[in-house]
Amino acid sequence: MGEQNRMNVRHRSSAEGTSGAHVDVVKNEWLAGYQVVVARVREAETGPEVDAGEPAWREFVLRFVDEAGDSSQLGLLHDKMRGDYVFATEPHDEAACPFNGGLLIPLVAVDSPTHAAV
Amino acid sequence: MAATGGPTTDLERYLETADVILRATHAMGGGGHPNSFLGVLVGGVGVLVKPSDSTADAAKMIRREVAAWRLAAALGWPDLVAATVLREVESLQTRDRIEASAQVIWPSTQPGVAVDSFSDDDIWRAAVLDALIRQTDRNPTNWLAVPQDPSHGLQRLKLIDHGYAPDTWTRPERLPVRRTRSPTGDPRLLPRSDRGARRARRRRSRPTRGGRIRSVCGEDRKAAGRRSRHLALKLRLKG
Repeated sequence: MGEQNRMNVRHRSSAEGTSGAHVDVVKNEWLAGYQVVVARVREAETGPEVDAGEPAWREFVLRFVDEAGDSSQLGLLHDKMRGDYVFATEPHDEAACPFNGGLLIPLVAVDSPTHAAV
Repeated sequence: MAATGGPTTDLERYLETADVILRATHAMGGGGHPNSFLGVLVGGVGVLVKPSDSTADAAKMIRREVAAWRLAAALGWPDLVAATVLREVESLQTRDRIEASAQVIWPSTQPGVAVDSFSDDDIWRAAVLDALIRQTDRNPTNWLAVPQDPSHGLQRLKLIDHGYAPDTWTRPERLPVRRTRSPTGDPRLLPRSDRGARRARRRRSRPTRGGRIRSVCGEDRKAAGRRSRHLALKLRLKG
């Protein structure tokens, strides 16, 4: 599947024909210690638009989204795609994107090691 | 909580009792199970921890995760589902001691790989397991291919996310209810349609002239065969 962080994420403004709302499809790399965006689904005038660096991820997302359908599908993605290893965020604007235009968020240690059963 | 006998017992005992030396969470949550987090056990084994206090159904869901693993192991397929146990953890929210599931994390995974990429054996085993646990939530987010890159070796199927199997535990009203006996045991008290069905079953189960029993549990063999093939097809993972 290759390295996901090579994904070419296009940032479009409303002036370019999109409203800005998008859903991030996120893979949990538990052992590597980060979350990575593997695809973004944007609200476009013609319907949802899937943007993924790897064709396999695009195919994966298209199992949940019909690009020929209407953009209301974006709101349902979060409920449809919620696995332990891959999930979809709720739709949000660019300004509210937790990835802040990037593709990776590292895991955060909760507390210091206790050497006791958690 | 460990199963009896075998190497999986030792593994389960370790997962239940090993000290956790690191806990880490994702800023955006774990995905399938809210508040799930990475736990690193002494010795360096990473486990996905799902606490019982994250949602109202979480306590049931984590037990289903364990049940799926135990069944897979009992069937002789411990490679199909990650080893999963129940153990006590400290709640991330309240710091109280609570129950959680802890399951070994698969390394180098690719979710949602097309089903026809896997061997027939893997698909068949998945179909059998899903039938036994009444899995109704198998979708491309809850199976994995390991390793992630097919050029690194033959990708094998791994099943994950069994919190909704059996689905009927939470939605019993969806079970097909079929009355086969009146409350008093008197068939005359059955609704007319049931009496007819009973007579039809009796007819089907009568031996034929050749002395062969045509019925399979009251069903015609051909019909039973069709039904089982249909069931097997339905249970195949959708690619």
